[in-house]
Amino acid sequence: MHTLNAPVALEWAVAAAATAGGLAIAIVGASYGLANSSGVGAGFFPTVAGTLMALAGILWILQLLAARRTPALAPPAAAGDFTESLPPHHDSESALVSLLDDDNSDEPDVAEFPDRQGWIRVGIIAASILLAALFLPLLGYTVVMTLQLGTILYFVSKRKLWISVVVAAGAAFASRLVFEVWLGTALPTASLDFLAGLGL
Amino acid sequence: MGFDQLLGGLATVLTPEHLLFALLGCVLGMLVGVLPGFGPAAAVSLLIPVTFGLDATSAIIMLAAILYGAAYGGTTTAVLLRIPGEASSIATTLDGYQMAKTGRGGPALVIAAMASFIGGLIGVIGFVVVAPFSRLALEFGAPELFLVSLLGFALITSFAGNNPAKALLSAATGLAIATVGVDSGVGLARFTFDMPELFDGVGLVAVVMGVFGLSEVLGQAQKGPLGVPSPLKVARLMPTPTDFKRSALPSLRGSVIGFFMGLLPGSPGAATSLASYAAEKKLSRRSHEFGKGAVEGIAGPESANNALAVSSMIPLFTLGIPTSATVAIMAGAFTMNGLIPGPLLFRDNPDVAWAIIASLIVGNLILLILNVPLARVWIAVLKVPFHYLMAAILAFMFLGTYSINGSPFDILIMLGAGVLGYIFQLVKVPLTPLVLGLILGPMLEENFQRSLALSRGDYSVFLEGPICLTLIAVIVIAIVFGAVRPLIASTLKKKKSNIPVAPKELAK
Repeated sequence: MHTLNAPVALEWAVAAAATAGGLAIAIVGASYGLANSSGVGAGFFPTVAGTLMALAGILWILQLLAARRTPALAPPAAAGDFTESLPPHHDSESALVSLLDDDNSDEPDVAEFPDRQGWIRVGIIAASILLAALFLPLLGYTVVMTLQLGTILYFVSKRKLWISVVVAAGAAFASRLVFEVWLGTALPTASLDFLAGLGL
Repeated sequence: MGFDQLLGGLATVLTPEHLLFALLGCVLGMLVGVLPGFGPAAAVSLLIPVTFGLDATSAIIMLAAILYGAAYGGTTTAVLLRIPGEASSIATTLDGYQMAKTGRGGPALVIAAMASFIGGLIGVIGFVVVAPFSRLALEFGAPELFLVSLLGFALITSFAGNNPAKALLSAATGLAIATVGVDSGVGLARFTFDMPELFDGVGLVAVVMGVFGLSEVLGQAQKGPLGVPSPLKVARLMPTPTDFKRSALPSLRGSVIGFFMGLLPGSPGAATSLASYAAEKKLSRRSHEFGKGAVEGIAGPESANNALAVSSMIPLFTLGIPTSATVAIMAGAFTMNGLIPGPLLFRDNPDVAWAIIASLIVGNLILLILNVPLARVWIAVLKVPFHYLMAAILAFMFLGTYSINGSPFDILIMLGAGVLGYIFQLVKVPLTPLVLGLILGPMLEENFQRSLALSRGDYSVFLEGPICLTLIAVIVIAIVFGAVRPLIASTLKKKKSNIPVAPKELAK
């Protein structure tokens, strides 16, 4: 029995989610109506999009299955600091390869696969943004931003608690000042009486 | 030709207000562009909210300046740190860093800036020559417009990444997101889950900020504290007369290469700069100096990059089709500011269109004047510990997304898009088709519905006339080429890796 490593397991999960999600979109889309008297219905494009998603997911799964049957090649060289690796080949033939090869100059660099600590850092940032957005109407911008930045600085960046609090509160107040005074954009205040009374 | 209109555009741009926004855009673009991982696409998507509240012309001028500033920020780090800010700056690291190592960082940056300016200028001249042809596109009806959108979609999906299935998934995801909201045909709410925030669809800015901005922050955060090597010194600034002489022709050649490569789908930046580098190495009498600090190795790729940046906007201005992520984000910015990218822009808002084109020259000129003397300032940004920069970027994104509609819901959209973009990066799904699907989706759907409404449901409307047939043929070729391209690339790579390496080279 095969044991999947984390990156391959994630590929399987995303491919499966794409297939399932695509099918769901196609089915729900079809329920909006594929045709009407003037041509296509509201559900035509969602159905097409969902079907394409599902098709892409299935193709990806087939590729993953094919890759499992192929004997593993030598592992790629460990990714290191850019300064340690030479830039890509620069002769004319390689320029052609580069043109045909995956060359998405606009694309961000492919991230290395995170370890457990990496996942935790990513999770903390995502959770802090989620909670900040949810509590924004209740606690107001200043409190929410202070808590969000403080959390990230303390738990992700491992700054000292007092530095995290001071920097976070300073940034929250400063950004509020800039947006409200300079740019004239009102930021939400707390709906809790206690905090609202403090002008937060 | 449109040179008269270009002069008119220059007159519009050369007002204190527009110059100020161009200057501000260059500075902000540079500040973000020097940050590791933040290329032009991320910089423009992050800084779109800065332009809220500006009139359309000022906003687009500023965003174009941000784009250039970010690209030049990548060049600065390529020369002084050997960290290319984007893939297209990789060729510049080869000789730029070597020049900086020998105390000639200043001349390397000046040559890069001058070559960029020449590239931008030649790109704009080409743009002016091509722009009048956009009138032909005004003759297009709904079927042709649908097929043109489909062509843009097919081209970018075919050229994104090395795995057609993953590119298709990305494009289909973008299309699916684009269908959220009230249908333009019959007014039916789709995938809104009775949430009023979704009736107008998913906000483009929130998605773009998430996909290109937040995903990059998450990617950096997973690595932990970031180590940035000490930058080399800029030292003496001005190049020697020989440097100028040696870089003149490579700049011109690079500009021509870049201009034509920019018209290709995907605007292949890294391939363009490498092609220019290879051409210069072949043509130069001093090919042995390449890789050891040859100015030609900087001038060619940098001019090619900038000419490409300008010419990649031509399909957007003439057909309304973005061919790369950065241009797609710019297209979104046009729409947000009430401008319709494409031939209608020249018909309905010619002053704005030409002002934007003229601003491409002015932005380059500002960069030439401003950035080299201030190279030390930009590099100083990297001395700020990354955890503080990351926190500042996150706060900025939070505020920027909130200020779109004054709604926390957009922050949730940004978060969802950011997590999706991050996971897509981990599994190597290209992000450009997603953004393009989101932008082209409504165009595709609207023109498809209009075509069938006009033909009373007869699908043969898409096969009528030579334009439609030509477009269909090109779409088919694009799809087939997209499917076989990875195979060709892999065959070429294998062929190259089979060439035995001489012992002498191994010893090196």
